[in-house]
Order: sequence, then structure tokens, then C-alpha cells
Amino acid sequence: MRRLFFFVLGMLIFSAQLLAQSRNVSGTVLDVNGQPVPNVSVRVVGTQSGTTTDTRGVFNLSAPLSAKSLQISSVGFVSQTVAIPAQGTVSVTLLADNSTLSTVVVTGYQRIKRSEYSGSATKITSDKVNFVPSASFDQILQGKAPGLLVTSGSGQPGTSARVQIRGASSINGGNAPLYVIDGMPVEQGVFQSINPDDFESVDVLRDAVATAQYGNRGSNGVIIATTKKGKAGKTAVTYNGQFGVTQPGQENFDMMNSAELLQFQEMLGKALPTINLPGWAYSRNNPANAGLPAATLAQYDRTLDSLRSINTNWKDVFQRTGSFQSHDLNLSGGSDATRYFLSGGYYSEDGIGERSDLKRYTVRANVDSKTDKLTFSFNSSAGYTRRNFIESENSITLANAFAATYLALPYQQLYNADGSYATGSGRVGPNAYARFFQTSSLSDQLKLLGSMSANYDITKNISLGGFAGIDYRTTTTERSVYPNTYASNAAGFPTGPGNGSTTGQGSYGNGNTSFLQSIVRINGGYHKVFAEKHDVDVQLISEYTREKQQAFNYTGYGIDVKRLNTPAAITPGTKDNLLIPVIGGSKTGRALYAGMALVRYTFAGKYTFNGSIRRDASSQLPEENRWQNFYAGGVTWAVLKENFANAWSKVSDLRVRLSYGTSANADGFPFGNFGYLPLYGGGTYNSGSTIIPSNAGNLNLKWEKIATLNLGVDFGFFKNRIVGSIDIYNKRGYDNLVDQQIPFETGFSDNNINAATVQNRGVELQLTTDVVKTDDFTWTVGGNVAYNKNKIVSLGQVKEFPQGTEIVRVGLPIGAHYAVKWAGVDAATGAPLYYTKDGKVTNVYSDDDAVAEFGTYNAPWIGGFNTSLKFKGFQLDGLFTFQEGFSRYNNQDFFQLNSAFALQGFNLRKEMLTIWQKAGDVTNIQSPLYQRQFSSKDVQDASFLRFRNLTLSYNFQKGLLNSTKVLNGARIFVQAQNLYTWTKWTGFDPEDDNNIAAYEYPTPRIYTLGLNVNFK
Amino acid sequence: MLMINMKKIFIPIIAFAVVVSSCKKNLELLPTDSIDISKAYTSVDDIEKGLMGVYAANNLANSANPDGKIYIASILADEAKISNENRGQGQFTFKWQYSSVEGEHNADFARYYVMLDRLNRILEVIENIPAGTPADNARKAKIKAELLGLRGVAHYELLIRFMPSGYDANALGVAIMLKSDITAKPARNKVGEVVTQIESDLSAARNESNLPNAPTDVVRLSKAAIAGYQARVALLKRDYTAAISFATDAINFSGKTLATGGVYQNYWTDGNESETIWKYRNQATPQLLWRDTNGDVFFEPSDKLKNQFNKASDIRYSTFFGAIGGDTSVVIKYPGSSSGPQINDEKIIRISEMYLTRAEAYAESNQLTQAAADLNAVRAARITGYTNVSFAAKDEAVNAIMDERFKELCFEGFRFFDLKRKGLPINRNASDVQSTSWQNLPANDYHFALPLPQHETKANPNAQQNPNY
Repeated sequence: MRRLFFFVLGMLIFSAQLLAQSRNVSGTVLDVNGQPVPNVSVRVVGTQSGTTTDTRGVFNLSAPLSAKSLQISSVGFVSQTVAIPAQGTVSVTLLADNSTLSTVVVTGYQRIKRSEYSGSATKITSDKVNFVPSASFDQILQGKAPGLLVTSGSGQPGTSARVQIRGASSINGGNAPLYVIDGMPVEQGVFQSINPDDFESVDVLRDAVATAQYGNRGSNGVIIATTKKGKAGKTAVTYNGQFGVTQPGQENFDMMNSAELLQFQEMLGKALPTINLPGWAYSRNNPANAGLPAATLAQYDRTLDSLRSINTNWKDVFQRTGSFQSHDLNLSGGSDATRYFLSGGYYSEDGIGERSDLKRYTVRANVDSKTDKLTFSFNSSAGYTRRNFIESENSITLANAFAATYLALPYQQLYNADGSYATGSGRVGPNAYARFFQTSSLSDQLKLLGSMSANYDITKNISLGGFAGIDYRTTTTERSVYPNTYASNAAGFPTGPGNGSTTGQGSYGNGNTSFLQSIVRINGGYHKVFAEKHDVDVQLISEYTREKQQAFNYTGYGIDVKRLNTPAAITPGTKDNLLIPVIGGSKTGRALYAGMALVRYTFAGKYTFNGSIRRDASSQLPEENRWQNFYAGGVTWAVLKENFANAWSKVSDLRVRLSYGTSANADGFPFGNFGYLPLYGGGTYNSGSTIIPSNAGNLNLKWEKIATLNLGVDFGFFKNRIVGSIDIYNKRGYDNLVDQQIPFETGFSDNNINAATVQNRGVELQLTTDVVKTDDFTWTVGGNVAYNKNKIVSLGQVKEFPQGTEIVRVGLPIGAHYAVKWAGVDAATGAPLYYTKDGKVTNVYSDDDAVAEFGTYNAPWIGGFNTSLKFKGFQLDGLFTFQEGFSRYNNQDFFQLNSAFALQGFNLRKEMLTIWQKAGDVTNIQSPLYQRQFSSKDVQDASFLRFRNLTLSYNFQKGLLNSTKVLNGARIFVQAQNLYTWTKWTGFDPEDDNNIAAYEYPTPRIYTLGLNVNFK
Repeated sequence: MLMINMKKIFIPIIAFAVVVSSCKKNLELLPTDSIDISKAYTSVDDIEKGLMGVYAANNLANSANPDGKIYIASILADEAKISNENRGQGQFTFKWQYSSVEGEHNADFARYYVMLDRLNRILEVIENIPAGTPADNARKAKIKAELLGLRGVAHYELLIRFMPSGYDANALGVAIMLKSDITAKPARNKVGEVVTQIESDLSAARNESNLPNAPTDVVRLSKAAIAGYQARVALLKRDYTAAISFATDAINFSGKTLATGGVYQNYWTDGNESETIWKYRNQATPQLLWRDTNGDVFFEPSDKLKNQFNKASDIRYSTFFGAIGGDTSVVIKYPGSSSGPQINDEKIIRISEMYLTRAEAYAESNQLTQAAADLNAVRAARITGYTNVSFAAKDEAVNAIMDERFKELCFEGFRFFDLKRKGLPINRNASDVQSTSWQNLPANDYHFALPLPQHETKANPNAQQNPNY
């Protein structure tokens, strides 16, 4: 027994000695700037033992003697394997991972390792999102992710773009993606009060697995912004600043100067002798002047001479070089347990249109906390924006500065001799310009975003969590028209003269809209690895969303000229003064519910299955059709984990993904929150109220559904010198909402029905290559290109219906232009010629001859490419974006190449001088005797390649900064945004958010000089 | 151990289930800003409000974006000329270059079917509306009569726009709508069928004893107004005996007389209702019609029209035409009222129209003395020092009466439809056009039958477009 005891004891001691056959390994992990990186995972290769670095980037662990290397990995950095030295400590410098194959995908509810993710998603990192001179972050994304179409509809600072992922799926519903910031879905298209410099990354989710968690809102893709989080350690202070200028871009056409316009008026007069335009009225060729005395004719000549000598450059009058600046101050720090990120930002951009600008003030506080079992995260931001606008932006009116620039007559002057504005009937330029100083048009926006999430590990495998968030926005617009000015006199009664006998009394109005979205979510999770091979993760999520919107507006009249731009100056309305204020408003809201189960199963790190089942409801649909199930599933195969791939030394990454699933878009119902109901509204007539039908309603409406099949490959070659991904997809939207045109006899003109099937098929490629990579010099070239073929497969009971200047027709893409085909000008008569439906030339314009041969305004080819040269501290980055194969209706051409508008006193383009005048003239400009019709002549190829951004930067070397004692890092840069555009389009900007060019505010060119500083 | 684990698994599942059940209720939201169908019409007060909504649809000017009868009947015909400040407004219509594409020339197609849908919805429920008191019962009966009358009016207004010129009972009319139907795809009825329906609705309305004879409330139908429409329908179908009888009813029931002098001038500022048999109330929108808010004039009165008047002695010349700002020739028939400058009610039926209608019917039936008497009555009220005329021949009388309608009813929505009804051409003066291309429209040209909107022909397979569009 004793012997046995000693034997056992001896064994134990031996074992203890065996256990002691290990040693301590310690080291430090730094980033390229020499900053310690906390929370880095350090694992001994071949064992389960591992640790993480502390706030100083230091780690300490025990490794068996047999261990040879350590795996160092952290989110946002390239993983490294380093040898364990025989003695001493390890020092590791981690490289930031900005490649397309970042290791973690943020899907909103979860962060998933990319290798275990079968969805199609692209990460855009902070260096591509921060410090771009654009106040709306959606605009920044153009060209930066495959399949992501971003088209800006206005150069007014802060305006959101039209964003579409993988083509349009709905004919009548919304096609915008869902935007999520730090797990909180946010209002579409309102980003002006959010600071993109706070963004750490933006993930673009495209296929059904990727968007499954957003099922009822995710069918158009999801764009997820993740803001910067605090890093443990001493408080790091960063300042980023930029100064610059904004400038009008190029335009591909020339307007006539005074001499040309007067000459053109004379040409018109020869065809239409009764016109009264100076070029004809004072012309010696005008038969009406034939009998006039010589002195009068000489006076006429002098009049024409003096008009010719006036050449007002209206572009200089209405457009300007504006200033730009932005400043951010960030604080980041904390302990292992609790980290914080605080930021404050100021952004100011002048528009290129007189008066227009944006000023933004933002603050943010992010706190993350982690204890043994509880992780907690708090994100909040507040932003206030003031924007001033030009008059009548994006509308075809004479008050729109960008219309007036080109319609104004060059032989008119801006000022009278006494210095006042030379306003008056037919004086387009001065009338539009004077408005800037006789009106105000601005908006104030406050946006608050706040969310809190907590997760508690009940056991090692089971967790319970919750999320609550609020997205609140209130926008107040102000509109003033000052009394007794040109603008108020033109505004009509009660602000204007009406019959010309009273002067305009001015008006002041406010419009307020508010938006509130609140979300509550609870989630239960189960995660376990069985038999070291079967990695199972299940999440149960229940989510309730409530949205409320309110609007209120009023306009009061009779403004006290001494107190402008305030409601206090409004004269109270009475029955006698007729200055009755106008008041309006509305209230609406909706609720969404989603319950879902998300499953991930990974087998031996090789095969992963992602699956989801959800049940969704929206208050926006009839009760019988309110609830809908969605599902998605996908598999990933990590090919390199297979034994047969061991020999593929040149392949550094290879994964194949296949997914299929369904989703819907609750944010895209075109009929608002209650449009499914037949409704009555109240109006007024004869001082009493009326009750009239207001909405046709359709109690059979149901969800629009989209099913997406996606096959993708992620790859890396030559130690990831070449990385990229390729995806092909088939996205089919069915039960899609169509605004069905119904006979007028019904009392309505249209009604929504679920009738259409729309298909988007495409391929997306993303590639990044380090062409040259040496210690001092790196040349990286990257890019993405996507092709999407959009097709309407079915429209239910009809085959087609026209929609404005477009046609919705089976077999064609959404947004197909529909116009009568232009056949030129008849050289004998000057009459415009058109093709009939059967291809015969005719001089009779008939709408029935319209054909759909002119493409669509949704570009099938989109993409961007970038190149980056790094030499020591210098870096030169270029970004080009392109959209190819689309056309738009150039309504500006219709105005500028139309003699009828010269008759009405507008300027036209130089080409008009080639107008048909006599038999035999071969020209494309018809005689003024014929009505100018909208035809295919006005549908133009709008394809463009844009030199979107060029940045030259210099990173100060460590040694240099150390001598300052206060700086840890510094970078200076100069950048140019929208440097040049190559296009055949003859408007001023081929890029727009719709099918028609209508004097939209063009995209500016911006140059800035910037500085990023990290303080010690 | 297993038990504890199970318990912990259940916590999330139970929480999950609780949230699901509590959310169902939270998804039932109802609109606050609109009225649910079940609550729309439940009392006599409600249907009266509904009726006022029907009246509201009968806007002859639609001034904000002019496309009503008052506007199109002038620029389609020879009443107006394009002015220098016109930037394209109404030019397609003026030049007869319109097509089936939606524009001011065919906007009324939708407007009057909206009106029909509104009134048919009320007619469908009116019998079930509780009316507790005899007064309520009488009110309900009157509302029903007005709705039937308005149904006749709406069909008439549609018919005169979209039928061909002249009168052929077998020609294409418009679809008759007698009930609200969101799925309707009706074919067009023949002119004769539509006229029969209109006559039936109008006479049913007139038979209601609760409907007053005289226009005690000028914005609502009276027996006089119904008779006025009956007279118009009779004139359209060239039933001159009936036209004489209905016009006489309208004149007699109305209790109105022709206004003169200051009363007539004041009439156009809505200062009195001396000639009104029925009108559309407009309290907010300036009737700019031929003008812009900034004072620009798009259409002037035509030289042809102005030349018809004796400028010195005819009160109408200075009442209808004037100078504003730099423009020397402007339509000022809608000068404004107590509601504001240029805000005027739209006269739907005036007493003078009924005189001229009866005069025309007399003339056409060769009762030249009576024709001259009615014409002289109108002229005497308008022209100082007027000497009565008498006619020797039917054509002479008819022409004189047509000219008088041109003058008296200009810019009130008649001229184009009068020429169309009589199968006459439109002949503009050379000085009223920039090109001879739009100077004359031959009699019975296809442009007289306005094109159905393209929307209608695309959405309704049974809708037959008028020829040549």
C-alpha cells in the first residue's frame, strides 16, 4: 500500500514536472505607427492556449516547449504567424487590413468571420470613407463596392444620392437599400447630419444570406456603417482638418453670345415676320423697316451695336467658387473593460450656386464595455445641419439659378444705371438673381441617433441579449419672401399684386417634419463546438419597430419690412386684409415585427452553412396578407483547408459561396402607410367641408418578394498580392408592385397591385493587386466592375403601360425611354421628320409612333477603379468611377435647341445658328414654323467616366515627429474631388438620380488641403 | 446539470414568445388623417358634405394649372391670340397640335369621371342613410335630386368635349357611368344613348318636389338650373321646340332678369347675383387663366372678338377687356372680388345665355320675331342707345345670335363648343395668328372631337379613341 502510495505520488510529481516543461513567452504588438494594439488575440499554434494583449499591447503566456510559433490576430489587421524565439520577447507589428477580404463581416446583428460566411458582402474601410469632401456619406460610396449604383441628383451640399444595389427590383416601390448605423436602421436618404469621418467601415450586403437578418427590409441590399470604437490605453487625441474650395464643373455646350443671338433673332424674323425681338425689330432686313427714314435706321443700327457690346456672363453671376472646411477632434481611450470614443465635428461647404451652402455640427459618444459575462455597447450621435438653398432647385422654372444661367439673355444687364436690379417682364437673369436677396430658403435639421445593446452569457454556450435604439430627426424649413420686392410682386396674391395695383406684401413660412424610429430587439444565442469539429451557432431574434412621422407647416403674409426672416413679422390675418395664414400638417406611422432564427454550422472549419427563417409583419398591408415567411440558406467551402490544396503554394485564399433566399422591402411600399385602405378625405368648398373619396385602396395587396441566387468565389494569390472576389447572381422580384393605370371612369387614374416579376441578373468582380511591393515603394491597383441586366418578366394582365417619357413593358428593363424616333430635318421644307412605328419617315408627329429603342436610365455597367502609389511617406491615390450604357432625356436640349424659346425671350445654344432657313439647307435644327416635339433626339447617352478623387498625402516619419514631443503621427494631404468627367452628354452633368435632365444642381469640383494629427 | 441548462435555454425562448404575442396588437394601426370607408357616409350631414364634394369637382377654370372649360373653349376657338409673353402655355391647344397625350385639352375627361364616381358612391348608399325627421327626409330627397342632376351635368360636359362636331345620335359618345366601380373598363356609348341618360337624370331631378325652382342658393342646383341644362341638351340635339320650352322654364323659374349698367359691371366682381342661375364658388384661386402670376400675359383677347363690339356704346367692351401694366389688351372678365384680386366665382349658367339659347331655337324654327325679341332684350341691356333689330331671314337671325353669344359669353367656356355644336369652322383673323398654319380649322375637322387621354386608351381596352389621334 505504501509502495503504491509513493508510486502514485511519484507519478504526480513526475506529471507536475512534465507540466512544467513549458515556458513563458511575452511580447508587444504595435501598429505601423508604433502605437500599442490592445485586445489582440495571441494563440500558440497547435494548442488551445492563448491570451490577448493589454492596453500597452503587451501579452504574456505560457507555451509548451514543443511550441514553435504564435498566431497573432485582431479585427482590422492582417493576421500573422511569428516564430517563438529561443529567448527574449516577441515584437510584432501588425498591418492594417484594408483589403477586400477583411476578416470580419459586420452583418448588423452579428460580426461573423468572413471565412464562415456564405453571404456576398463588401467592406469599405475608413481610409476610403473618411475625409472625402461630401456631406452625405452615400455619395462617398460611389464606385467603391461592386454592384452599388450611386447617382447624385444634386450638387447642393448635403443632398442624398439615389442608391441601388444590384439593379431595381420594383417598378413602383422603392429600390433604395436599408441603411444601418451601429446596428440601428436609420431613415433612408437623410444623411446630411451624420459625420462620415466617424465611420470605421461601411459594409455593403448584397445577397439573400447577407440580408436575411433584415428580411422584411433587406431585399434591396443593406448598407451598414460602423462607427469608430475606443481603443484601450492612454487617451489618444486626433485632429483632422481640411480647407478648400468648391468650383463649378465643366459643361459640354456653348450658349450664344449677344451678337450671335441677335443674328439668330434676325433669322427667326425672316421666317416669322411678326415677331418682336430686337435682332429682328431693328434689322435693316425687316421689311417693316423698309420705309423708315435714314436717321431712324441709323439709330436702329446703334441700338443693335450697343446690345452687341453687352455680353453679360450669367454663369459668373449665378455660379461661384465657394469655400470648404471641415474639422474633427476625436478622443479615444479606456481600459480593457471599458473603452470610449468621443468626437466632435464641424463641416462647412459652400455650394457652387449663389447662396447655397451647408454647415454641420456633430458630436458622438461610443462606449463599449466588457466584463466576464456581460458585453455592453452604447452608441450615440447628434448632428445639427443648416442648409441654404438656391431658388427653385431642380425645377424647370426661371427662378432656378441653374436654368436662369442658360436662359438669360446675354445682351441684358444685371443692374440698372442706379445700381438696382434690372428686374422686369422677360428679364430672366436679373429676375432670378434678385430673388437671392429678396427671399430666404433654408432648412435646419437635428438628427439624434442612439442605441444600446447588451449581451449576457448565461452559460458558456447560451447568451441572452437585447438592443434598443432611437433614430430621431426633425427638419424645419424656412421660406421668406420679402415685401415689396420683385420676388413678392411676382408671387401672386396675397403676396403679390394680382392685378398689378398693390405691391407684394411678402410671406414667411416654416415647414416642420419629424421622423422617429424606435426599435426593440431581444436575442437569445447558443454556441457550441461539438467534438472539436461541429461548430454550431444559433440566434433567436425578436424585433419590433415603430415609426412615427409628423408634419406641420404654415405660411403667413404681410411681412413687416423691418423684421425679415421671422414669424414675428407676420401680419395677423383678418377678413378685410385677406392676409389669412395657410396652415397644414399630417401624421402617420407604421409598425414592423420580425421574428427569426439564424443558424450557422461550420464543419471542421471547411464547410459552413448559414441559414435563416423569419416571420415578418408590417402594419402597411391588409391584415390577411400582413404576415409573411422568409428564408435563406447558403454554404461556404474553404477550399484551402482541404488536403489536396496543400500543394497550392501560390493560392493564399480560396473560398466558394453559394446562397439562395427570399426577402422583402417594407421600406419601399409606394402607397405610404395606409395606402392599402379605401379612404375618404375632407376638402372644402363654398366655405364648408366636403367628404370625398381620396384613395382607391386595394385590400389584396401583399408583400413584394425577392429571391436571390448567388454564387461567389473569394480568392487570393501570391500571399494575397492579388485578392478579389467574383459573384454571379440571379435576383428575381415577384408580386412586385405596379401602379396599374386604370380607366378614368373608375374615378381614379391608377391603383397599386402586386403584378410584376422583375429580374436582375449580373456579375460582379472586385480585384486588388499590389503590382509593385518593396520596402519603400508600393503600387496598388484595384477596382470593381458590375454588370446588371434588368428585365421586366411579367406585368400580370397587361404587357405594357407608359409612364411619363418611359414605358413599362415586358421584356424591357425598368426605366426604358419611350419616344418617337427622330429622322432629321426635311431639307426641302425645314419640317422635322420622324419615323413611324414601321420605320417609314413622316413629317407628322404622333405619340403612337413612340418606340422603346433608346435604352434605360439605369446604367447596366457600373464600377470604379483606384490606384495607389506609396513611396516612403508619400502616397498618391486616384479614384475613377464610371457608369456605362445608359441614357437620359435631356430636357435642357429641349429648351436650348428650340426656337420657340427664343421667341419667348430666352437664349439658346450656338448650334441653333445652323437652323433651317431655305430649301436645300441640310441641318438638324428644324424651321421655327414647326412645333418642336419631344423625340429620340433628346434622349442622349449619359455614360460617363469620372475622375472622382485624386489625393496626394505625406505621412511624417516617426523620427521627425518624436522630436516634437507632442505628436505621435501626422499626415498632410491635398485632394481634388470630381476632377474631370469624360462623357458624350451635352448637359452640365451626366450624373443624376432620375431619367430626365431638368437643370439640376450640378456636381461641384472640390479642392482641399488637409491635415491629420495624432497627439501624444 | 442538464436541467439547469434547459432552464437557461427556455429563458430566451419564453422571452421571444412574449414579444411575438404582444406585437400582433401593435401592428393594427389606423390612419389619423383620412376617413375609413365605413365611417365616410353615415348621416344626412355626411352625404350633404359628399354632395358639396361633387359640386367642388365641377370646376370650369381650374385656374392654378388652367385646363378647364373656360380656358380651353377660348384658346381652342377664335376668342384669344398668343401674346409675346407666352412661353409655350396652351400653344399646342391653340394651334390644334394636340394629341392623345394628356394636356389641358383633355384633362376634363378625368375630372368629370371623378365627379361621377363621387356622386355614384353617394347614390349607392343614400337609401340606407337614416333620416329621422321629416326635414331630414326632405333634405335627403333634395340631395338625391341634386346628385341625379349633377350626373346629367357631368355626362353632358364629357359628351360635348369628346363627341364629334354636329349632332349624330349614332356617333361615338362617352361611357355612361351609373355606379362606382374600381374595376370598370367600359366602352363608349353612342351620343344618342348618352343624351337619353342625361335627359332621364335631369328630368328625374326636376321632378323632385323638394328641389326649389329658383336658385336660392346659387352654388347648388335648382329647377331653373336643371332646365338650363335641359335647354342646352335640346339645342345640342337640335330639338328646338324643347329648347324653347326649357329655356323659358329656366328664365321663369330663375326669377332673374338681365342686368344693366353698374349692376352688370358689379356682377363681374361678384357684387351681385343678378344673372346667376348656377355658379361654381371660387374663393381662393386667382383666375389668371390667360395670364401668369408675375403679370405676364399668355393670351390676349383676339382682334376678331374685340372688333365685334361697338367700343363706345357696348358696356361689355370695357368690362371684359382692359389694360394692365404694360399690356394694353388683357381679358379682365375675372377682375377679382371681395375674396381678392382675380378671384371670382365661375358662372355656369347665366340668364343671358338662356335668352340667347331661346333666341337661337326660335330662329332655327323660323320664329324670327320671337328670336329678335330675345336678342334685342340682351342687346338692350348691354348697349346704350340700342335700337331693336328685326330679321327677314332665318340665316341672318341665326348668324346674329351666334355673334351675340360670341360677345356675351366670351371667356365663359362657350365659343368652341358653340361652333362645334353647329358644325361650323374656326376662322381666326390673320392678325390673331403668327402663321396661317393655325388660322383656320375646317368645319367638322377631327380636332373638334378632343382626343381621349392616352392614359385611358392604354388602361381601358374597351375605350375607343376618336379618329386620327
